[in-house]
Amino acid sequence: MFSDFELKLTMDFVFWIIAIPIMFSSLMVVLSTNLFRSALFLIFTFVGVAFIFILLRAEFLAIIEILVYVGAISVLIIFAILMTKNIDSGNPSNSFNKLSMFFSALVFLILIFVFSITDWNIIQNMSLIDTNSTENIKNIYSNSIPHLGKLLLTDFVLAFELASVLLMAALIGGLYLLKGDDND
Amino acid sequence: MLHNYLFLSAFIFSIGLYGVLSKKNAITILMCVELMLNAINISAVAFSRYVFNSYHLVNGDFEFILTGQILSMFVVAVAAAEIAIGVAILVTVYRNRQTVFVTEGNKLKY
Repeated sequence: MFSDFELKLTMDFVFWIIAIPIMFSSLMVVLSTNLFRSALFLIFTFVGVAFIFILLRAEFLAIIEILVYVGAISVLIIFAILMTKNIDSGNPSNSFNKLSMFFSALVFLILIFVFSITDWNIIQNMSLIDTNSTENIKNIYSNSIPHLGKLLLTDFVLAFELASVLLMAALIGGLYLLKGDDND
Repeated sequence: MLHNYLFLSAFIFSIGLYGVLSKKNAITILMCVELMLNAINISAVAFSRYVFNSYHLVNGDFEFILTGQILSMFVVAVAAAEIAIGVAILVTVYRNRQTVFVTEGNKLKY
């Protein structure tokens, strides 16, 4: 139906439609003077990143992004904003404002330079892959969640258990820090 | 295609780095750390989608194309733990010092 070139062009178009609002809202997270508004822009960025994951064929990760970031982390951040006063007092910078702007622009340029000069082993060069491998990769992407579960419980089982221990420790530590005095 | 995602990732990472380095408010710093972790997630998933290792292809091990997504899952878990502890520390500091500005946490200096 579509040629390869048209498909690539459509993918690029959809990507920029999602990416430009993400870049704008992530800029507004640091530039907005109202703390609550920057938290709302952060939520918008998370939703956009979930769309980017869907574009990258990582649907399960997109659902995790919505559940964990939009559902839990942003609620915690808004909770912290509401617990502390002076929401409207602005979002001031410290004395390193100009220096850190320069430094992060430098890091951005270095990253772009390294990304563009590296010769990546791109999977789209289908001439390198035989049709059998292409078929297998398509099968895995069309139904990825069983493969993810299998990988998590075989190759990465140690990291999986460590992550659960870390979450448990974070839960206990957060409860202990927020407990307050015993006598009130 | 890969370069688009890497550009987006580098952009969001630099924004987060700028916010972490230059802002006074601890809540903004936590938000910018989340931005940086999201940039890492985007680049990990993009690498696992577009870049392949011919060693795995020769051995017929095709599940390697999902390892970037596994890495992103662990990053999400660590981000959840980090934000929970961060908010708890921030509320405790606010209870004791009535401020959330990291530049005012200098009691040990004097």
